[in-house]
Amino acid sequence: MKKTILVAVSIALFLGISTLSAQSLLDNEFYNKAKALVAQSEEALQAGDYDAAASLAAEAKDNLQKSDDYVATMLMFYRANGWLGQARDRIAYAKSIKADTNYKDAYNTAVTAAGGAKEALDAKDYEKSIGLSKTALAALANIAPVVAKAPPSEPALPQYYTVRLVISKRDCFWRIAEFPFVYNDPWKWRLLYNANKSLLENPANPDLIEPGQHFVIPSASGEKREGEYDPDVNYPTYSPK
Amino acid sequence: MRKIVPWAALLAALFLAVSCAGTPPAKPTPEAPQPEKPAVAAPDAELAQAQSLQQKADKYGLGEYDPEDYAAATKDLKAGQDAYGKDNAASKESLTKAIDEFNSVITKGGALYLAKLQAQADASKKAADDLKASVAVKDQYAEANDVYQRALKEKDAGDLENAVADFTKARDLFDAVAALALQKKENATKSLADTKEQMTASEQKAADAQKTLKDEGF
Repeated sequence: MKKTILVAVSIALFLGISTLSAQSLLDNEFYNKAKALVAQSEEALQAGDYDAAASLAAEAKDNLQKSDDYVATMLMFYRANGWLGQARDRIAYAKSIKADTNYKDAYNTAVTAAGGAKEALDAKDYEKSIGLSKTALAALANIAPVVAKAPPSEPALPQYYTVRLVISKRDCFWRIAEFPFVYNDPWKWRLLYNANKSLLENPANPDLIEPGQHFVIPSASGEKREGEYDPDVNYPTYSPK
Repeated sequence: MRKIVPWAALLAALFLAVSCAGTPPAKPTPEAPQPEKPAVAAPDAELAQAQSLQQKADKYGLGEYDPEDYAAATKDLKAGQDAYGKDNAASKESLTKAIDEFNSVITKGGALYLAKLQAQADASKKAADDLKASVAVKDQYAEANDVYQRALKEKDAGDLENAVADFTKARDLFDAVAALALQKKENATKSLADTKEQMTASEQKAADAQKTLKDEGF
């Protein structure tokens, strides 16, 4: 009887119905035959042909046993096929993220296991095939894309500057423009002046600024600026883009 | 009074004298021989027939169907037996009467008895038919039915003994046929029920398989 089941399974696979739904597992020749035999048995029982009814019922029972075997076999086939598919998908993904290089041992283990799973599947050793597919998946369970470390980001140039009281070297538009984190060029002082003229007590006099005044530092060449100047931050030196 | 006594004595003496002096009475003439009745043979045939009929009636208990005639027949048979060898004519008469009465009992009671047996056979046949025994146990049913049909013909022909035997046999055969058919029916019913139960189990196994595949994402 096992041979019959295997033949049926082979035929099913040959017909390319490996993607059958589980529901269709019941829609096999043995179950269908059993259903027909049960119907015939009922008719015979009604007609009084009790010997035939009993015989047909027994034959139906045999076919149900074959159907059970078929369902069990196909279940294992679908599972083995499904697990192998998952293992292959995982291996393909691993390769796409260069796991064959970055996780060489795990990748090779998975490939070997998946190969064994395929061989076991072909040999109809579904239990073994499932085990090997799971081994392949387990080997690749912890892989992840290896991302190159980005250089530490530099702080953006400051957008605001508060005039300080520096006795030795008083702030002025010329000196402020000269700071590396501003324009690194005193000759760009007019940019500052023009942007903050309205804040001055005497807008016509760029030489008179006072500590505590809060100046905006306009972008000189499209560079990104944000936040208040912090003397403790190591700002990059401005360079025109 | 003294005058009367002498005269009485005288008369008595005279009477005695006259009596003793008479001739002896003549010998009685022998009676004329009566004409003899014709000799009647012992009614052996009647006796045997009456007894046979009684046995027949008793064999099937027909007396209970016609108790008056049966009682009369039995009485007449006894009278015939009692008179047998003593008064054969009377015996024969009683036996002849008994024969008629037993025949009446057998005719009436036999019909009723056969009707009873036929009813039993009919009931057994119906039980077999209800179990579709003509299909379930075809050959045995056919045999029983043959006997039944024969009994009907024998009944119509007034063949009490064979009709009784065949109705009884047909009843027994139909009973056996029905019992066998019932056994076969119960066996088939159980077998079919078992198969349906297994079919439900097979469907459940397939549903479980479906769930397993679904749970594993296939």
